[in-house]
Amino acid sequence: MKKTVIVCVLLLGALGAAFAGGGSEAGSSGAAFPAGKPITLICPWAPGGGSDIGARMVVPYMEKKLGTTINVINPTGASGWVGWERMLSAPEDGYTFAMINLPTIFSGYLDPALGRTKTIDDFQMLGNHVTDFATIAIRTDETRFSDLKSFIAYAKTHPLTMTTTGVGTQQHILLVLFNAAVGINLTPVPGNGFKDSYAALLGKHVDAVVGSVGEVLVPEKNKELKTIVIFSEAPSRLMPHIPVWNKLGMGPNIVVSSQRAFACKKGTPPEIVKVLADALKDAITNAEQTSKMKELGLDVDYMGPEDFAKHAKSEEGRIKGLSDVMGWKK
Amino acid sequence: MIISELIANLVNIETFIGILVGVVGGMVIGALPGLGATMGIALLIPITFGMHPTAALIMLSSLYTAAIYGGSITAILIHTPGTPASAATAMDGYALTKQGKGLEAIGISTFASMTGGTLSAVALFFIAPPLARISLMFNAPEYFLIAIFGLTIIGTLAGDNMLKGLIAGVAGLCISFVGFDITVGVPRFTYKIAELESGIQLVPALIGLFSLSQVMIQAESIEAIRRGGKADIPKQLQGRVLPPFQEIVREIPNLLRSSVIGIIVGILPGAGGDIGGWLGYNEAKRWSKNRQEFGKGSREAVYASEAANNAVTGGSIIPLITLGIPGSSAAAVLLGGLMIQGLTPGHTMFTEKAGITYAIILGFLFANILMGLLGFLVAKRVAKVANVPTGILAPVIVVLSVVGAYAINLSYFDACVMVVFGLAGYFMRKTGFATAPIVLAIILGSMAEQGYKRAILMAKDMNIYAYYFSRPICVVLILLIILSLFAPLGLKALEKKMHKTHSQANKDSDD
Repeated sequence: MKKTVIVCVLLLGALGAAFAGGGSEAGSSGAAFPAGKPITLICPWAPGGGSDIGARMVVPYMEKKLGTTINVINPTGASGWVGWERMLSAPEDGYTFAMINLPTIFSGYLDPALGRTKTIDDFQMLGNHVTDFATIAIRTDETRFSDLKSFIAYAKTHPLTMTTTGVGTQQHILLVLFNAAVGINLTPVPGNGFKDSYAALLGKHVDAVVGSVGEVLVPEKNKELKTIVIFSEAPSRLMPHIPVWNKLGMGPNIVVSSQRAFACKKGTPPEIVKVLADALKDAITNAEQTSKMKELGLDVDYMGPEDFAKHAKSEEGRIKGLSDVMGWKK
Repeated sequence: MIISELIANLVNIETFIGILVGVVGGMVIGALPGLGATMGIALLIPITFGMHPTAALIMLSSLYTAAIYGGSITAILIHTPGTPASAATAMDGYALTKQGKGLEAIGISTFASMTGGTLSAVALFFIAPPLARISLMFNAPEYFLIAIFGLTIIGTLAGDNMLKGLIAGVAGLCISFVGFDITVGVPRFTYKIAELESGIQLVPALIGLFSLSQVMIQAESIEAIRRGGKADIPKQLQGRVLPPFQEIVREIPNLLRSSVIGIIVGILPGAGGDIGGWLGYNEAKRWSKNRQEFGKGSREAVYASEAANNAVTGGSIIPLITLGIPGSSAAAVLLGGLMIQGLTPGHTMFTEKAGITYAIILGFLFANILMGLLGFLVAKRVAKVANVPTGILAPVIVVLSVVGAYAINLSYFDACVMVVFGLAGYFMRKTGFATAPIVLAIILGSMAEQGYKRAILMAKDMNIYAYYFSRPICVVLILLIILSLFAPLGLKALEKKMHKTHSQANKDSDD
């Protein structure tokens, strides 16, 4: 008798597991999308990072609107492309969508060495969530330099290292552009996400760190690090006191932002795209969500599917123009 | 003021339910292969939105520690580690089950997990900020050396045949090369398969090597039993749940050492519970008087790996709360839970938010104790899983293995990886190769590679060797590695010599 009970418990466990992981069943038509079937959201970055927290913030509001469960999964690797390839190989039925990050997504296929065939044109945009500008930060107890000017002066005569979050990411692109603009040679040290970069900086293993506003805001408030410059068009709403690179006149203009947006596969039926995009709009423009994001240092910047698709295309052109600086050989 | 706030946060029905849900849910999720602490926390986070921050965080951290404990239950009873942190426990724990001592092994695991978890909570309570500062002194160069130090364990895991153990280790290292190169950003050994760009995932490989191969080996005996042969696992449950008092007293040094190792590994952002369990196991073996028992059902081994892997949980929360740097992947998801509650890591957690922070830590401490009590309570029933006939158990484990491998990332590819590793594990075990070195090498291979490559970049213009020797912690680690590699040889020589003089002395007295 007891044995039967144990077996039942085990089987129940298996069912529970299957329920937790049963997200990718294709939805055959019938009732209107999503018809209560679970949806999978692919966030191609590590759990707990800025992108992941952002994705998980939106999910509950979308779930409410769609009346179904959204499972967030984190297949990481290849600077996001492991997750994106996953999404692009799923059926175009709207049951799988992904968080996409600009400009990181471009370097995955603009660099011919990677041999990727998919491009931004294979994605159907659903909307932009956050625009997060890049910054450079140093330690608060740094003695060799204290601001951007002294940092550049020091870097001209000494080899310095700066952590990024991997080759081809927004941070890496910024470092390459900055090196070229100022005529210095900072060595990038790739880490697994900003948390790694930050630990390396605090432990004095590297000299500076590239981070976005969303990543440096909280440590800056805690006086753990000091942000010396921001690469945005205008002063940041969240960190208005940080000097803007383009206004300093110290070199050619650089604007590097990371956009966290959502997209599904091109070819998804328009009515399904509309359902997803509307639910996303509701979630992103929700006041409670916006204020929670602000506390985390993430500036919500909603753009609808068409606006964002246009923006992504123009960004692609801009990054294409950097091929020479980035060392992407034709 | 703070104390009254702390009590108000801690003593209420919501917190109590949070602990209960965390502990029970954690034990179940942990016991299922594939579903680990990381996924459990991620699944629970949406539920915490409407909860009080204290109750929410206590629930999540209780789930973390209980999942690590739960993973050991299946590791001991059916050689299926529920989480990678229990891989080290599976060897000796399952060997004890085969001797009919499964219940005792569960008791040991329960007591050790409770002790390790509670000690890590105490460390979290009293010395979190200074410990977090120390953790920052470790980075890429040190991680490389820690990984190398960990790899020396292969020597102790190899079993009877050192050469076969080393071959398995090298195979594991080769597997760890598959995936994206972080410094150059180019895929290696992926053969245009997109899924391989993130490398061979540890959990599917582990489930295959340990669980699936075990099921296959056990299935072989079904026919033999039907013909009247002896079952692998004795029907009678021997012994009692609570470890004998004298044994606990004797194991105090082992428990303390393993817990400290676990806490340190937990604090380091580059190393988690999987490594903690192995290091605890290895040090216990090094210090043990009964070294030859390890791998064949050593009780000390279970004490060590279990205390260490649960101590990792509290340890990994230390840099999380103080600096916002998670000490393990489960802690990284926990960080998401913290931020969503509007709690931002940093020194304010110990000043303005002290009432909440200390309530969370105390709740985590209670959760560890509750987990232990609950474990002792259900152990007798749970232990019977080991006696479920293979004909029933085998298909259940196969289903759980497939589902578990699939569920981590909802990936069919991962399920296939699990099956491939299951077959490989089966043939390895049939031909006398140990599977543990492969798992260890997969875990540590990429850690070593990334650490070394980053160290080269961090060294700037300096010669890489000079850079290593300019870092005090590195020098200590290098000495440790040399000691651990050559001490056994020295000891053996010494023992031989002693033995000689001893027998000489005996001979003399005989004359």
